[in-house]
Amino acid sequence: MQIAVYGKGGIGKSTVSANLSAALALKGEKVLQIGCDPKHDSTRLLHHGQKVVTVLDYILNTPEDAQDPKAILMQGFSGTGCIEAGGPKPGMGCAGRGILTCFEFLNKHSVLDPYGTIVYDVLGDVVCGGFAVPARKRYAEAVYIVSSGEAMSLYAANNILQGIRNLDPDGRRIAGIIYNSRGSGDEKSRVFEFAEAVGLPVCVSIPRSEAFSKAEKLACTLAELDGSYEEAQLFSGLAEMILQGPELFTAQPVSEEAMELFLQGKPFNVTPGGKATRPALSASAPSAPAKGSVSVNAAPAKKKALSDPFGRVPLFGCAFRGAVDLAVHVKDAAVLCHAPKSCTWYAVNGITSYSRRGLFDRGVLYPAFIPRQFGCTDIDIHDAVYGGAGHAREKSLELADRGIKTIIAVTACIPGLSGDDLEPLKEELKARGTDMYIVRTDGVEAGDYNDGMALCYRTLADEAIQAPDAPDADSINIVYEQTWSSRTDGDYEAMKRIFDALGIKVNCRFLCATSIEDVRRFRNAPCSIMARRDRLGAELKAFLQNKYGCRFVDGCFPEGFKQTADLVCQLGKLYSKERRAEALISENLGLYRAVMAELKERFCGTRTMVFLSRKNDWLAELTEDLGLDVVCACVPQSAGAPDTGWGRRFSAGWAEDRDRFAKKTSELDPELILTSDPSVVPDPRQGVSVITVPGSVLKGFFGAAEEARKWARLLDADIKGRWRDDRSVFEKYYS
Amino acid sequence: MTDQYLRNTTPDSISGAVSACRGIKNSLVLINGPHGCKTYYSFGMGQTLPKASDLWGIRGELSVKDAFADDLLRSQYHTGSVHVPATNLRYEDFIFGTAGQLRRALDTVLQDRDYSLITVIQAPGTSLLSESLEPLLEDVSDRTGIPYLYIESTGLSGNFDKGYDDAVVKLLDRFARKAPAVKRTGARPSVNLFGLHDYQRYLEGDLEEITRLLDLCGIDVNLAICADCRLEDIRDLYAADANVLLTAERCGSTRDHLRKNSPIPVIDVGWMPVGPDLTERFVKQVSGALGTDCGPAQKYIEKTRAKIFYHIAKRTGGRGLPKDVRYAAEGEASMLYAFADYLTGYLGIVPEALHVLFDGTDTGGEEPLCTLLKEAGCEKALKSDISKVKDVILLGTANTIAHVLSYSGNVFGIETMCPSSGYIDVLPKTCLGCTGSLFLLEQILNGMRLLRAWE
Repeated sequence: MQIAVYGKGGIGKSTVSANLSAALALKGEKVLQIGCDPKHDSTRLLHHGQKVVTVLDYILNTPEDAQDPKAILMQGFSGTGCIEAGGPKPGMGCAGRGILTCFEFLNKHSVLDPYGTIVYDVLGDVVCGGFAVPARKRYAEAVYIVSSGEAMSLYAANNILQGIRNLDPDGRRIAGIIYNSRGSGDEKSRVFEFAEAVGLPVCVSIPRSEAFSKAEKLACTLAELDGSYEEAQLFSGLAEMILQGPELFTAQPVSEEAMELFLQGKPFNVTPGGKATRPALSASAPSAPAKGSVSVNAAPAKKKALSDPFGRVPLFGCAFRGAVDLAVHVKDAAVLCHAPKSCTWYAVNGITSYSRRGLFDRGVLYPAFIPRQFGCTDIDIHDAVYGGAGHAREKSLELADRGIKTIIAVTACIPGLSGDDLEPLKEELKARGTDMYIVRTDGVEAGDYNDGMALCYRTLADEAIQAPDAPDADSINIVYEQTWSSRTDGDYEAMKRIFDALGIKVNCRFLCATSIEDVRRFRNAPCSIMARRDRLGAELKAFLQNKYGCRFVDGCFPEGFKQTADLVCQLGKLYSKERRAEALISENLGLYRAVMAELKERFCGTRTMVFLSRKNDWLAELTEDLGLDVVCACVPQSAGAPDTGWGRRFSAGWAEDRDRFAKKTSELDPELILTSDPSVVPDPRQGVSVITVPGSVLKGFFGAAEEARKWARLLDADIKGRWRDDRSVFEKYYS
Repeated sequence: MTDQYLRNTTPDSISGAVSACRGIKNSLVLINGPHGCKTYYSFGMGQTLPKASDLWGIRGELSVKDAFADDLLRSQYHTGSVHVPATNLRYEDFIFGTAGQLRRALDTVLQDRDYSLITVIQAPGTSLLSESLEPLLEDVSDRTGIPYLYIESTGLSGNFDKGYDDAVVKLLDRFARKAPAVKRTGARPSVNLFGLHDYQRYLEGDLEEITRLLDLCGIDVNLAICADCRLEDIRDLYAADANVLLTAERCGSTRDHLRKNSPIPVIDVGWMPVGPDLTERFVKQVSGALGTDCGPAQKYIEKTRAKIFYHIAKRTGGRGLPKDVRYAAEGEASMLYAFADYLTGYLGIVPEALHVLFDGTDTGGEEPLCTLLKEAGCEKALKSDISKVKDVILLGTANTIAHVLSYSGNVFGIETMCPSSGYIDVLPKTCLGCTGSLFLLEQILNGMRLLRAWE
């Protein structure tokens, strides 16, 4: 059983919660109490005032991979577990977010699992989405509201009912009112009158008593102080009631006007259905809260705490942007950004930068980068405060009315903060013949650009791909092409030439310049090929394999002659086109040898040093084919971690590697330095040529050879220019 | 959807605030936001504007140190821009508050560079936290001696001009000395220019041209607000003799602020001087208000008129530009008014579509445009869909040009606003004044040839 104790601030929720937990524990229950208040004193009476490590402080100061839930779990009276969520300093941050984060942490580490009863002690009122967490469906099954007969306490109790009704209009979640007397006037009758008005029982009446002060001073519960106290017996009775399964009721707050009349002591009308005549329901057996999902191939990288100044590897682009950048590649779908204009502008501006550049640099228009069906809900402050799902509905229906059959809705941080739920909208649109796919990149915690792409990939892979309707044995899918590179088109064309030569058609490009129809027919192809390889790609591949049993070609788009020939061979076997494959390889091998012979004259025997941020197969093949004399090769990252180059670049290790390389350079006296990072050679000595090596080259048989041709041109035209001599003049006028 | 496209491809209010603040020489504009906002407002902005990396100031305050400071750009706070870093917030900062990371960022960023101003702008998400960061900024400012400006919110879905205008008012309010400064005896009159920003396609050339025109009128430019001015110039704002407001939409709140606080007169021009007629009106209005002689400027304009006539006559034999040529344009109403006055009123080209950006700003920019179009019998241009035009000369951003080209191959684009296509301007260009009249004509004449070539 999971119980949430709500009530106005200072009304005694923590005292009630702790005494209730103690009483439950004495009845043999395994109890966990979670204090959901930034001031973190909910469990003090249970653990006798131990030094508290709150969950949020722990998360902030402990590297993610070193986090251990034992550090935040204290043992209290009679084996009770005690946890304090904690929160930011007053006036800073967002305590409600903190509660959400705390619960994510507890779920991730399965902290709640061993306990039979969990008592949530929740701050004051249902003040925001975060504090409403314990009242949400998957957490508390029974909600108790602590109230005295004071006006503001009852007012808060009514607000809490209102909040719970908003969360779960028809759910039976309320167990009743715990009347905690302040010992003033006729408060008892007011509490009972209110309880009747809202159709709830008063489960227990706790008198004002010195016993509480005594226990408070000793930092213990009444049960521990002296179980024979009458007040202790009251909690024992309440615990028994809970263990029996309390009757539960729907939240039926009275209207504000009626509440006002009530508080003034005037007659008032109760909202319909507000009497305690509604059928009660027994609480069901405790259910475990949902667990956080874990990435398929989570890398066990060492991390640092966020409070550590070096704990934040710079990330580039947010999840929202990553998802939008990918979604626009489904050409016949409308992309609806549920976001402020600011986010949309930067996403669109980023996307269209390819079209602008393409137009100017190459005179080519890339339609995928001029998204025509692109909407934004233009979230304003009203939406942020009150929720913007209605606004999203308006925009979506507009799109549907315009005949749009597929909408990809991508949500930004603000709807995440305000808790917008677009799921009902999805159903409504479905009934009108429009499919909506929701990519929930809503919130800073959704991750970075890659995480957003991953969400978009997963959403469409999971929801859009359908059973095969017309299988085509001579077709192939291309998965995970680079969507923001000017190379993508060239690579695709190069691969398509190879497929064409083998008589294989491209079935679906998932997701690059594609259509929702192609995505749906993904499974018509017997085989797929990954365009590139990294952690995200591996996760996507595993997902498609696990969910649909998709078959993949080994490796990805090939670079260099050898990889390309291997792939052609493999495709020949897979598609029973061995003879075509052999012919294709043999035809290109002759051409390749001729090109290499010509280039070898220029490069053979050149003393060369190589500095790469990651392993590079095509370069290894090329240096060999060109006959370069490689005297030193520095590749700081292992081959098994192809996506870590970026993080490496921002680490202290990078500077060490650079220094080592510089030392080697002066020792080995090379003629040529090939590097993926020219800043490792900031000031090369006279006579040394430095060439920046790209991370990848054009795919297919001749991409690497073309790269070598460029080197030759660079080396043959190494004229410095006299402009460098004018640095002093520049500094004179400009600095 | 077309309106949505154009709305989505025009910058937002935070961009406006960033543009205003980074228009102050050697200022630091720190976005207090997560990594997404960091990328877009620092890297994204650098890519959007012709300044590219932002290592080069438009008046050239480049330091070699910046140009080759690869280490700096490797820090967690920068992405391609020295002057617009961000705090690189994580989810946890939204819970515990952003002050800790903001302090770390400022400590790092201020470590080895001397900035003239620190501006902290809250990103959309952080603006909802309502944090009181002033005490922290006060402390940093006391310690470093660098003044600060804190912009808590620019609105979630506001437009560029609003963000720019509001930021200018904040700067004036915080830094401009209230009393008029003592003027040098015998000095020429001077003006402050308002309404220029770096989302204009040719800011550097625009400033040069306006300065040249005013110089010919015997007037100096004291400062062009937020167009690479110094903070000291803003403090001494009222050392000038008048404030000249150029674009209604960019100066709505500024106008109100100046009218209330400025001890020197406000010359509310309301539009940019495009084409010889508006240029002449501009110089007359400003020099008239300051009592100077605009004769030399008029002579310059007269020569420009002659040159325009020569080029049109040479190509059309005095018949004028071909009547079937049309143009379309996007921009604020006051910018459209200026373009329409030149292209329609002076050159006699019919507008096919005029798309007003940032409508609803209620700054009075639309009225002159509507009047002009009504007099020319071209009101329907305001109702036409700019994204569907074809066979036109199109004045706008590279985004709109690319968008229209995706429907129709027969369009000649003239970039008047950012984002641009990326053409690198070594020689400063402008669409304003006499030089701008000729530059626009040059493009129109060549554009017409291209349009004809496709027929």
